[in-house]
Amino acid sequence: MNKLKSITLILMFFYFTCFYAAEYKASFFGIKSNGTTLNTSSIQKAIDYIHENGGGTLVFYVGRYLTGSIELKSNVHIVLREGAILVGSTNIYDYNIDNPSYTALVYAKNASNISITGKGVIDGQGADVAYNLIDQIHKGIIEDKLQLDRPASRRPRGIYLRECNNVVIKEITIKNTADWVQVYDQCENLLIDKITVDSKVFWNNDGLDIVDCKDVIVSNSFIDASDDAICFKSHDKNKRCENIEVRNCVARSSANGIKFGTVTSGGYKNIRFINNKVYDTFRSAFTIATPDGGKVEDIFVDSLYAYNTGNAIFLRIGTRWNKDKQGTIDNVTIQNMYAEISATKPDTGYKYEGPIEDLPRNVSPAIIYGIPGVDINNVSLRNIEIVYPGGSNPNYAYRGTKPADLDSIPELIDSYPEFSNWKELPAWGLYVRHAGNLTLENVTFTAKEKDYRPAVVFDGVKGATLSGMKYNVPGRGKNFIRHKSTGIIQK
Amino acid sequence: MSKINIHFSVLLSLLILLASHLQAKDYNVSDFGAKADGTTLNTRTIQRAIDYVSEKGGGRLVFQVGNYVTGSIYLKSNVTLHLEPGATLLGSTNPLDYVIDPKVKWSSMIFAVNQENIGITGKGTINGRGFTTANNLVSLIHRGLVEDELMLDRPREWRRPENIYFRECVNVTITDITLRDPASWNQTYDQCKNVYVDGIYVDSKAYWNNDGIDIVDCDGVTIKNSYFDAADDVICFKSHDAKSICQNVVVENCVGRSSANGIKFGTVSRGGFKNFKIKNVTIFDTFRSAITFAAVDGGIIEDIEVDSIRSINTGNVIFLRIGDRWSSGKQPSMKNVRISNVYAEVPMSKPDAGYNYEGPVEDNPRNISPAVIFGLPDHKIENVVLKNIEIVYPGAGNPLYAYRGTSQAELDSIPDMRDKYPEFSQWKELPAWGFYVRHADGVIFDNVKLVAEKKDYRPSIVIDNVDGATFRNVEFIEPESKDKKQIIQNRSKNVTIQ
Repeated sequence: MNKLKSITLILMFFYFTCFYAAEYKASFFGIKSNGTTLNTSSIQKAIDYIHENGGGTLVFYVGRYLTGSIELKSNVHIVLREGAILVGSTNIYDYNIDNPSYTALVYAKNASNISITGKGVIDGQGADVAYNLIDQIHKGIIEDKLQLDRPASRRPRGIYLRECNNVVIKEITIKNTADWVQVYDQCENLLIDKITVDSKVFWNNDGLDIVDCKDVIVSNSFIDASDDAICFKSHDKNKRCENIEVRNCVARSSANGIKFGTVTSGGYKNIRFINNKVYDTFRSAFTIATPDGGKVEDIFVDSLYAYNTGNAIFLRIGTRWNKDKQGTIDNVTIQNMYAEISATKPDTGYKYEGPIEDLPRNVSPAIIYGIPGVDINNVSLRNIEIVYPGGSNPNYAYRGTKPADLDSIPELIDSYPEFSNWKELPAWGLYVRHAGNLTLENVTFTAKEKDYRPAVVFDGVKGATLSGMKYNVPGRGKNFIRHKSTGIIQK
Repeated sequence: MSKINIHFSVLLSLLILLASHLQAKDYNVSDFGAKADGTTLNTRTIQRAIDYVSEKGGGRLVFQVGNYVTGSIYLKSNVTLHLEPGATLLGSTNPLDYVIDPKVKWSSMIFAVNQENIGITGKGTINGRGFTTANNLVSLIHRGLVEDELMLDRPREWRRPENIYFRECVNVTITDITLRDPASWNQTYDQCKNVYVDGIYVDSKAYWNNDGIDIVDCDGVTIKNSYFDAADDVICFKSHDAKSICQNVVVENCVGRSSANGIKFGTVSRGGFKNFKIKNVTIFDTFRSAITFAAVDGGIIEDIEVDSIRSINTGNVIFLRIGDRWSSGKQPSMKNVRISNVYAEVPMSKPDAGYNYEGPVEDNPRNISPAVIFGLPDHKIENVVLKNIEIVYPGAGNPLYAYRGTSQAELDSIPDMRDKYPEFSQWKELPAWGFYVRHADGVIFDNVKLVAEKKDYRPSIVIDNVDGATFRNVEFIEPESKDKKQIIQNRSKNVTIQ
């Protein structure tokens, strides 16, 4: 109810400004569309001028508008008409690198009533920017540790908005940034609608990062990113992501499709996902990770389709940077989900593919994995079918289901959370450890070929209700193994 | 003593120059990613390069051949911008790519504020592209995006970028470079110490106020072996600060052309000018005076030696003026000015006709003006020596066109115009064709030859309220004027004619 109200408010506001705000053409400010003139100071002048004169719309018509970092200000609405491309300078020095937490092509702090809309494009030219940055680092002009061969900081993002409210990002295409594509950090009332993200040009190309935001709608968007596609983070232990809906989006990634984390200091509450698709994705279609002390509660996923992904579902509590806080996951419902897991690398051929693993495992199951003493509570999986390739080979990698085998699985509580952390797991469909009050209702696990492992393994589960379970797997074998689990009701 | 001082400062700056050359490390600006393609805006790259070189202890930032577009950059201590032949720093034509420095309250392409051991060297070019920048600025003003009253149809000088503006810098070296076409003055050195300018070439007629070089309140300046063609004053000394002064200055072996003045002190002259040696300078095709010393804002002018001047086709030759414009209680003065070995030709027609940004059309008639030495009754010009001087005038002063007689009443009626902007032409018609001297004490004409090519209705020299004048070996050549009285005195005493 509250959310609906805020959505309506946003929409009303948006249309209001569209109809009544003063409209300025970019060329009025001497901004050049030739693709070679660096327009940073002119675009900034335009934004400042519109901001100081009561707000309005800055319209870019067809052309290539080269620019470095620009700061968006309250009541300024940028419209990129079809064919208008805001092109990021390839010169690292044209960005606000002196203020690393804000380094981005378009940034804002404490602005309200801002938008970037229209069928135009923001092109970060991030590969060239990153390589030019690396060149300056190699020459010793810029200092950077170059961890994993990539600059640790100063790579500009496409959009970085901090503590902004009433923000609309609509219809635009954002592509090719040198770091995360777009970050909304501690923003309120954010609408992202009908955008396209295409960014596979450098490391850490997250498609969309929502950090500690409140009242957000992400809808009707397409995201193809080399790192996590739709990603929720919580950097501030006193903040959290809250009241968010992601609807009708399509995502592809060489990491995760939809992800909570990795940085999860504060947490997430009341996040809904309706009718989304994930495909050709290296890691999980849906990941919740809370290794840093964040509380995750009231997560609702409905109608999620995952095709050709490395994993379907991964829910994980850990203890990485949690200090005196302990992360929890409580009340997660996933329903009406269909997933096909690939036998081969799902993102093969995409740029900035996921890394090669260094140890063998057969195809991993969906995973719900708390830590000893901290269960993942109240997870419901309803009307779900996950199709696996099956055909795992015990001579390639093996994990048995005898008590000693199961107990020998390491907890890895402080490791970086990935579904593949444990290498071989003893189930092919679903592995649950340290969970309470789990509901599986009308869940179908299909393996195309016989697997040496059972479909489902529970270890340390306190209370579960299973009903309408189906196991479609060639050959005979035990489909469900329980270990150290209590209160398991099978209907 | 003062001479020794000057030599000492020259020597010092030379030593510094040599020392810095020997130790300087070279850095190539392209290593920082600067592009010489004439389109990429390199502002932030060049700035990063300067910062880096300065942080690493200094050196030369070298620009190889090519066109480097930039907006405002700040030079830092121990950094020299070295422009190789064919390397051009091209000013961005976008006025928004320049900053107005908050301290100096002026705009420029290359700034330096409070830095030391800095320079711009090499046979490359700095081209402000000021005409386009200024007109783009006018366009922003017309659109209401920049506020400016557009006086005389031009944006304020301080809003238009210069090529170079250095303020409170020590040990500045500018050698060999070419400077072209800023939107305002070319180069300003303001409250700097030890400024060494050698072998530069300035060609700048792109927009209003294109001064060739401005030295403001500096101590220890050498300008030599340089060529200037500028729309506004060529070599201009100013004093913006009542507590500062321009002093210990050498100008040597320079050639200049201007649609204003050749060598000028002022107009802003609050503190003053002291201990100058100006030697072997040629001024040509210049609209106003070859030499103008103006103390109109309370400043002093003292111990000035001018030697070996050729002034060919200039509107006026010598103009010395005390005024009382913005003095605000200070006592302006001018004394001990020695001008020797001058050959000058003053034309009948506009000397700068055909040059871009010509001097303005005057609104009132006058015949060709004489050289003017004009103090104030309460602040007289003292001790002026004019030695070995030849000035060739066109003569032909026509009383029907403009007339000023030499009766006492007529001479007394010439206004002092104490608070007016000082120009040699401000009084319109003056009553002499060669020299007009008023409110001065101790003026020596020694071996002076004044030539009028045609008969003039006026006498050659008029002195008025002069105490102590010596005319030694003064020669007048004027057709059809065998017995004409060429020296007229009014209210003067202690006058010797030898």
